Amino acid sequence: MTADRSLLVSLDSVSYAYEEELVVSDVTLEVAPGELMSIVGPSGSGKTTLLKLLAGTLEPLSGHANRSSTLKIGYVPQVETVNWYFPITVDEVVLLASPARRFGIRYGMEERRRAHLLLHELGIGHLEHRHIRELSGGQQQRVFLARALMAEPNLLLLDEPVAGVDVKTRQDVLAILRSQTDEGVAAVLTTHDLNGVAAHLPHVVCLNRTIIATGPPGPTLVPDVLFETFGAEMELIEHHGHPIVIDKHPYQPSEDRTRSADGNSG
Amino acid sequence: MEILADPFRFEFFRNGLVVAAIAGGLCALVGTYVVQRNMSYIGHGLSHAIFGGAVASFLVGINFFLGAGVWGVASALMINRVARRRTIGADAAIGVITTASFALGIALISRSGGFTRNFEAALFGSVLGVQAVDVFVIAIVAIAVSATIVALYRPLLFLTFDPEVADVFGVPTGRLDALFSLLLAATIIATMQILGVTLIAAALVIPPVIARLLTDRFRTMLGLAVLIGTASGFTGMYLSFYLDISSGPAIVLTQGSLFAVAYIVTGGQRKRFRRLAGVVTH
Repeated sequence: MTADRSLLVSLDSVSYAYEEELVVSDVTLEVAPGELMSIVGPSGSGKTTLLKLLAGTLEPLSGHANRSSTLKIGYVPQVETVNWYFPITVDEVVLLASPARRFGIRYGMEERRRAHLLLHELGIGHLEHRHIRELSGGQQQRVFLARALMAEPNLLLLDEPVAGVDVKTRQDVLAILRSQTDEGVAAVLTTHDLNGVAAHLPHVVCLNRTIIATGPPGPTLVPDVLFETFGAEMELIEHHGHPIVIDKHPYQPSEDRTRSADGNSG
Repeated sequence: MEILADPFRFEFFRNGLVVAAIAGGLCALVGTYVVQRNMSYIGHGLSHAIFGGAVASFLVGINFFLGAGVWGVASALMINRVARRRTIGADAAIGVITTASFALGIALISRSGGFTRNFEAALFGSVLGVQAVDVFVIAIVAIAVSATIVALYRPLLFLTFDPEVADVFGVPTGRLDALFSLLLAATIIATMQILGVTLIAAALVIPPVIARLLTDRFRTMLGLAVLIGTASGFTGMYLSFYLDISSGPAIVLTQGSLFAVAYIVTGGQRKRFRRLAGVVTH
């Protein structure tokens, strides 16, 4: 297969297994510059593994992964994986990703200035000398987003970047990602939040070990696809052109019963 | 002053003091990474594994540093490799490799019967046998390890803080892991005689833990740990001389006492901060 030179990463029929358990099966996916994509799926559906396959930290057991020679990745890990008791301050977390790659203990003036600016742009400049444990959940997410941006990436990979944060932080993070993609940076994020995140991004991938459907949220997030992806029944309504997913709870009255209660059953 | 000056009449003490101070600082420097990577058990295990190599090299008649060095590097790489396997569990895998190596050392001693005095020194540390060459070796190792850690401060810090993600940002985690295992093995081999196999783990762990109680910055933690390690090596040597006990236990007891003080003081501070902040605990 010949790699498309305009793509940052492409996965072609890629599979991956931990020990003997297949977690990603026959996945084909392409990421182009400026793309903004969400990967949705239930826990254990292979979302993080797929991110790592895109990043190249995992090599596929079968299939091919092609990466552009110009690829520079900024990665935001799940906050649950971070060691919050590690003795490190906000600014040093960000400086870790500095592309300067200088030897020695001291950081350069220019990279310090850039880290400082990034933290200010993300609204946490006043916290730069704090220990990471002293921050709120939303502030902690911003620190790791700042670290990813510090690497001057052309591909951002974000693992649950808005899990457990308030609405304002979620909107801010999405706005930052949009401004990055406007500048040609691609962003791929995993999320459980269908309404707050996936429905608002131009491209959604529904994953349950393999790709169930992929495309713009409107035609992709439909009941059949959602059922196959999550194994749960969901309904959709539309609001200002965005799909809104509603859980269909087991105790929710059926259509027949609702009609009967309304006196419409005939 | 006389208490401080008097032991200097003895050459073994002068050599021992230099070696103990360097050993304390060196172990603390490497130990800071060991502690923050939750690898304390590897440090403990590796020192025992190297003991097997030390005995084997003594019996075969090759240079101690060469024999123990090769054995230590092989063990470190094996531990590093086995620790990456998920099915066994890192702790169990380290236990298997290192105790088997330690047992081999004991078995060789039992068969030969000619290693008794050195055996005790290797287990518990002794300054009596420290010669100028030992001072030279530990100084070289300390300079090499310190220079490597300073030069690779950033990637090592990234690897220590966030090993899952560091390679995405271009940190060569596999090579760095292997290099760190070599630094750890070199540290243990160079300090084994003064601290003893059974107590090296303590010298690796206690000063960084004390430093961690005192600071939230990694760089400061490194500096404080080295300071505490060096000072306790120095103090431990005097205790060893005046109390007529082995150097290893003397150094580790000094560190243990410092830990107790730091723990109590920082615990008290935390309570005071909580009271000032109006946090009510029941």
